[in-house]
Amino acid sequence: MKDSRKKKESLTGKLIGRFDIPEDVILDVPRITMMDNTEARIENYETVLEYDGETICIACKKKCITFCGKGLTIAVITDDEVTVQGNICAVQFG
Amino acid sequence: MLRLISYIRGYLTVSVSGTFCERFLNVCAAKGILLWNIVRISDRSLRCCLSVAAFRKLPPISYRTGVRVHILCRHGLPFVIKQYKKRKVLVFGACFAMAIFVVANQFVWDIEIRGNETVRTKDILEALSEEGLYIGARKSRIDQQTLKNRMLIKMPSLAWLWADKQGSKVIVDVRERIPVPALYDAGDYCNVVAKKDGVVHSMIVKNGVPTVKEGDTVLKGTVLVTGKIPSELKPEIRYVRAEAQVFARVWYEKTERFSRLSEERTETGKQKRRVHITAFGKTFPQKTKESPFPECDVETKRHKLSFFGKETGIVVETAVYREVEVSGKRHTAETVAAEGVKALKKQMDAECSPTAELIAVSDGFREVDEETVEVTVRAEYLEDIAVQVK
Repeated sequence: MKDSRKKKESLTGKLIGRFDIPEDVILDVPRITMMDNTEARIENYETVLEYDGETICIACKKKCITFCGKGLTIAVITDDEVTVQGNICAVQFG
Repeated sequence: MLRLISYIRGYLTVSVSGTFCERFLNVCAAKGILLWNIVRISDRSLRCCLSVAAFRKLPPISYRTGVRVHILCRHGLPFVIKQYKKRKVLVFGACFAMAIFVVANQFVWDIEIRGNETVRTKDILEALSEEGLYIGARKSRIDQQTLKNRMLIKMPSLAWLWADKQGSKVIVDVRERIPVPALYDAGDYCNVVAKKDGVVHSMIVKNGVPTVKEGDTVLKGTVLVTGKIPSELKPEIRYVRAEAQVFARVWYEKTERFSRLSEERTETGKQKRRVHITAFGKTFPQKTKESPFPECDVETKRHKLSFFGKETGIVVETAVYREVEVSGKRHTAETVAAEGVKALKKQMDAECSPTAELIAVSDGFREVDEETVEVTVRAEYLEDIAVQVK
């Protein structure tokens, strides 16, 4: 099962490399758009794990993205996009 | 844009309290409920905004996630309308005002005549009134093309006319007809004579024979250019209309006595304001001639109300009455003389022709008695003194 999944991923990787297709379209990786350090838009997220004024932890398919800073708020949340606003000091991928 | 749409549709600010606030957010997102401005208030609560329709979908979600949702504030147009629905008189008043405005806008409340110089405004207004354009006339009944044609027939002194409707005001733009120059008979002749005493400076003779030359001193009535032209070849005299411009140096002298005492008006600081509204040809409240103070200065401001750039025909007039104290003041002879010179200079400018050029001016004064100063001004002008006389 694991082998077949690995094979599939490598095949997708090859396709991406061959046809120059953006990765976020084929693979379900999160797409983060940041505007200075005051706003971050995360597409392709799964759930909000933790939310307070200093830490916002957002779970994506493979990774967990943590925004650290001061006065952090979730400006908008929809089923495929979440916008974080505030003074963002660090972004961690775990 | 999102804010505007949210305001039109109405939205709520709610507080969500419970252990699993994040879970509540995730479930809302999964269900397609849009949340915005999510702010963490404490460990167990947060505040967010959502639409009214979304709020109705919340009870099962809040039950599932174990949170409690409370409305903190209602925003938007639907709530404002709901609030004003109770205040029926206010709504009625607004509708009534709007109805009055709409009805009043159907009539002409002001007529402005522009572009007339010799034809009197009163005459044009009278003619317009006979043709159906008067204060209070219905705007829809005024056909500009017909009005123009009828007015041009009625008033031959006008070459062109157009009535422009601007809200409840009508601006009538007119152009006057330039009169045809008079035709003279062949035998009709005249001379050019001096209308003032002076010394001839320069002459431009268009027709006729000059009888004076530059540097000659002429008196009022002296013939400057004659219309009789004798012929060297024929015995008879040719008569023409003499035409010339004769520039001469003309001296003016004026002496007048001025009083050193004058009244001085000092504002006391007290003031009263009266507001009058003129609409439908009437003024509310009616103006009275009585002033609120025994001695006061009045400053009046007129403000024409307009709605989206169109005049409504309503004029608000604000009169500010400022109380003054009148006291006598004695000025120095020099101050009175300086004021006197200005006044006399103004009189001289009015007496000489508008194209006259001031060459030199001198003034002096003497104290007649303790209260009177005699001021004398002498001025030299270069002006056209020619006038045609039969």
